[in-house]
Amino acid sequence: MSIFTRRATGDDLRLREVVGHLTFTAADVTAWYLLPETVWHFRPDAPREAWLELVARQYAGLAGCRLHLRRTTAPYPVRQWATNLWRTSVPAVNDEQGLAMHLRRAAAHLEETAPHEGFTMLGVTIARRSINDRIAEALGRLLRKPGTSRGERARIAEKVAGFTELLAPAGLRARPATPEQLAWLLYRSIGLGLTPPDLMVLQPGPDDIMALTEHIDRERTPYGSTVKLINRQTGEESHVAILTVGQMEPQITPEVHDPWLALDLPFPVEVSCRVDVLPPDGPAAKQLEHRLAMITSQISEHAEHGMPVPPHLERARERALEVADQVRTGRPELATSIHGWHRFAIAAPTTEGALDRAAQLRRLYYEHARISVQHPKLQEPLAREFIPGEPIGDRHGYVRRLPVDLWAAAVPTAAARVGDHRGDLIGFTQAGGNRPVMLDLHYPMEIRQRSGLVLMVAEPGGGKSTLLGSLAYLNARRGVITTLVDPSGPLAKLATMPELAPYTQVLNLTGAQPGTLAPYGLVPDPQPDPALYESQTEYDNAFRAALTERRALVTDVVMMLLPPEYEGDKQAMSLLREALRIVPNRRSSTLEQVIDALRGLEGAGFEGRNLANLLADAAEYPSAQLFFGRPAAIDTTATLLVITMSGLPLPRMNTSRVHWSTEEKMALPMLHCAHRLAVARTYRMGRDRRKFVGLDEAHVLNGWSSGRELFDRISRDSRKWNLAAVIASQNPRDILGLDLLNLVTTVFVGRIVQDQEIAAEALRLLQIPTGEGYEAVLGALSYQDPNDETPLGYREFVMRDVDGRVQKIRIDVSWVPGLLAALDTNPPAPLALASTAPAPALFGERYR
Amino acid sequence: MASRQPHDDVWRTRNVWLGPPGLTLPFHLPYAEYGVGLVVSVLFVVPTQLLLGWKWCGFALGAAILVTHLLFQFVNPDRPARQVALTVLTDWKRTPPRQAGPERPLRARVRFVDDGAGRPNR
Repeated sequence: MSIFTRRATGDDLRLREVVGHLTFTAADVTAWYLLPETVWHFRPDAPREAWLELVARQYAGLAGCRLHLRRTTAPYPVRQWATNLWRTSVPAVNDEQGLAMHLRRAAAHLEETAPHEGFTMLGVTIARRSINDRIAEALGRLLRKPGTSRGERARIAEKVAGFTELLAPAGLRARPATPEQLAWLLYRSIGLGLTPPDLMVLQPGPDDIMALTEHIDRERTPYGSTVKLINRQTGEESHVAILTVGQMEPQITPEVHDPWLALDLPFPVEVSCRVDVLPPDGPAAKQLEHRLAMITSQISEHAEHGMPVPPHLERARERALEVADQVRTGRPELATSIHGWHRFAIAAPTTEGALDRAAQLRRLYYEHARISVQHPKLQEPLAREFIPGEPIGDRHGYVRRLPVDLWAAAVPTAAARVGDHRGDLIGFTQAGGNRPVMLDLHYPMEIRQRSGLVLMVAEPGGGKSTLLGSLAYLNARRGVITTLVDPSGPLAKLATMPELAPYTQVLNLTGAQPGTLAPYGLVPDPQPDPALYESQTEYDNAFRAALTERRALVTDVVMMLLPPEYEGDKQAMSLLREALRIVPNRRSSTLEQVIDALRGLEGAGFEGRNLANLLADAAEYPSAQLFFGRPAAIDTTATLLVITMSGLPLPRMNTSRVHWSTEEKMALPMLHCAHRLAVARTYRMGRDRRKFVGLDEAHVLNGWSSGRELFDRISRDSRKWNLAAVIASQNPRDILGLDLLNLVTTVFVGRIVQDQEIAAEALRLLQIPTGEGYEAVLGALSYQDPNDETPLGYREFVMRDVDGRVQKIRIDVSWVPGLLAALDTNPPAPLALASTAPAPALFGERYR
Repeated sequence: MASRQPHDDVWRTRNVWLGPPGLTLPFHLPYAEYGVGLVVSVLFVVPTQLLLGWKWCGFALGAAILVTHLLFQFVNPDRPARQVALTVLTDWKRTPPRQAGPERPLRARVRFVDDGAGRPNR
């Protein structure tokens, strides 16, 4: 090797030893911590400001230390995800191969997007190693006992514990890194941009991961703009461009600017920050004094020469005085300074690709954060800087001097993640690099011990039916007992899909047998199961609650069947309650018995007979037969049951019932009871089996006590019966009227553009602050250019998951063949409009 | 709204020499440029004088001034003269492609030691 060359591989690392979460080089000891992801987006400004202040204090507590912050990525464990999904699925009989193909298709679609997940680690250099420690280590090597001595580790243990205690609480919530995580960080730092193998399934040890670094070579060119990394095992090449943060303008975070180390970029980027935390009374103050003296000297020199003092010198002096005052007398989170270097590593398969991405990053940073990102020389030393333990590649240039609160505002841990990462693939986030969104509707019950209630709201055309139908398909495909209430009927097309057809049944209520919706039969009696009720008292209370619920449902259904003039009529209500006391409150009772009881009420006279006659008149309407007669059990064990009322108009909830047509009046109790029927079916399917109910047009339940009780039941029983329920509606105001916010764990809000008040209501569902500009986000969802006639091929939602994370997502189920066509609820465009041929029949021959 | 401002603007001022007292120079160069210019001049003129004699020292001085001026085209508050000089002097190296043959073992390996906290180190 000549003096003109330098070997630049991973075989001369300064890092010697990893003990727990400590790394040792010849010169110093660094403690490494994993920083968990921070929920940042769609949160109110006040808690984010408070969080930044907390984090600034924690960093100020590290005064005197050198920090190495590394943000890197790991490939999304696609195979592990698909394997776990397979394990939690129940394939239909003779359909194991079909389910396996379904999951392989999902995995392949996910892998096409090259998904990755980020993780951030913070290294705190806590001590310089003394000459005695190094001598002891050298002697140990001679005696064939290499490594740091126990005495050295014991001496620094207390200091390490102090830092761990400082960084662990709310704010950074740092946890000591594991050896596997450190090995992974080393691999990603040595092999920047190289595709690591999918090792997650094998759970490798740190030595296995380190062995991967032996096959990585680096190549540099004179004054090159990139460094080339080569994996000798696979032949893969990665061309890496290292950029560095240059001049920064003031950051107004969180009100205006996003965190400056967590900008939304369309490709993965590695981040390495080497900074010194300078205490107020240390070098920072001295350096400021020196700078102030230089500036003052320059101003004096201009005065001596009779030249006007340039304005920038006056401003610099004012600023230096201000900063010096801040450093000397400010609070710790303002007085502490962070001096250091902030680098980005961008990789691509070719040099041109890397340079292109570098240019893209520079442009995005300038446009969105007003930060000038520079592309310096010395690429290879800067690339080595990413490796823990390696020296700073260029100490003299691009030093950033920041107050600690601006350093805290970098928030490298801000994540765009949403969803549980264990359920079905339903789409991708629209920020933070297109991260996959998985949703397991049973995750809140099985893992988080919470209710399985999901709210879904969007204006017509906002994609509500598509999302509800997609969730139904994906769950039914994996063996979840699924019941859908789709009044309009388009989701019944799911039954035509070949892979679902053998396990799907469609129940059209407009043609169902009498008694299907008999209200007495829709409220099940609780079973005396010791697994459900810990004591006899608890069971007795549940039984009595069921009786009350049944009576409330019957009361509401009868009031819906009576003419609307009787709504709110106290006498009618009183007579009805009296009659219901006479009729046995059990599942086999019928509305005919209620009619007889009304007629036979003592002292009711004309009013009682009148009510009975009106109810009997209602029974003559064809669709009302569903409520009368003996309750008819739906005998189906179909995995997917779709309940529709096709042909029946939905009631207009914004007008008085007095103005409704007869069909609309019938539709109201049908919807109520259809929702009840869907829920009641789940109780016959076994307690532990996963179940899913999708209730569309659920806003009709607003204003009726039985409606509220249905949601109480779902929320109460969702954990006991492993029941997930999606409540869908077009109007968030009606859903808010149901007062479900405390029961709901997941929320989807689609496009809402018509009314700002409704948008504000939707934000309340998402628990996002109103009046901070988020209403515009809802209006821009699923935006279509007015000049473009091509139907929009996707739908967007703002999703809040069970852990409180909120993100804008794009639904993507294109990997399921035929699903989008089956869920297309738009009317077909006339073919003639697509034709450009002249129409002589319209305008005559002269216009041919 | 809290505006968080870096301290860099304090370090972005250029210290220029306007001239000796009583005489304002028509050009205002940073102090650092005079210092670097002096060093570069010595590096150019001394070998020239030793090898070629005084006749050529004027050209050497001119070349030194030119080189200093070119160097300082790249100098700014984020790229001080020291950094530019080090880049010029060290970034010219290249790495040859790896030769075919038996692979060199790692000279230094990273040891993973069980810290006794029960963490699985293999």
